[in-house]
Amino acid sequence: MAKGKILPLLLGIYMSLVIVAAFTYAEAEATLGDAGRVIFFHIPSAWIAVLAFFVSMVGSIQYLRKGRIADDHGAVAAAELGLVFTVVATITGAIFANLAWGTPWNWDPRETTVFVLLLIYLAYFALRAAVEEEDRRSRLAAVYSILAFITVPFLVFILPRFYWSLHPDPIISTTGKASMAMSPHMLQVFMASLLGFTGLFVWLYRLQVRIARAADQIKP
Amino acid sequence: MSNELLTVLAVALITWLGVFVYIWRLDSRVSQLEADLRQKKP
Repeated sequence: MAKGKILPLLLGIYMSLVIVAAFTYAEAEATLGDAGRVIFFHIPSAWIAVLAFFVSMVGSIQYLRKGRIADDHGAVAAAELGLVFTVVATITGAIFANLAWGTPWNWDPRETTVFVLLLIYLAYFALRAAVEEEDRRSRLAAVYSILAFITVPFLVFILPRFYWSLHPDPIISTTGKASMAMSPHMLQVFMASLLGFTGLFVWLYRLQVRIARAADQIKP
Repeated sequence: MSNELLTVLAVALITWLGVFVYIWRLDSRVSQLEADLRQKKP
């Protein structure tokens, strides 16, 4: 087996074990019950989305500073993955909402801010599609990506806390004092899932950048 | 473990394995493309 394939294979096995552990090793959450098991996938997806948007911003800053097309490729790849993981977080959140409150979507503050975040980053791709000239497209997109990331902490962490929300208390605690308390088993599976999702992001990010680099070589 | 939970576990596992296989095959094709491009380079 090629050297570069060992880590992805290990990731595949690792995540399979994490999924099994999420349903067998971790106990049902005290207040949310079995529906609470979605946090092992929902929260890591959301965190990786934030990480991806941050990486996109860093790539954009590097592109504006140095003008290297590789940085623009990285920014686009990261933004795409940020969107994908945001959608995953939204879907897993909707699954939980349906189980817990009988409806997958009710314009809860946290659901609404995630929707706004999706629109902001969809607009990033709309902007890229609208500009034909490569360098101008990359520069405009880079500026947009930097500005877009400024909204991320506000939309993901700050604004939803201003309003009462159905969304469970985002403070993860092992002491049982928060409305969502994690047992040691749950915390272990959660951290393992976070690591697995990070590995998945890194694999996909590198793959996307490789594809972009190959496309550049093929271009006439 | 209840039947419902077992079903959800099976669905989650199959979904993950499907996604993994898809990305793995894409990775393999990109590796092949990169090898072909390296060969063609003067």
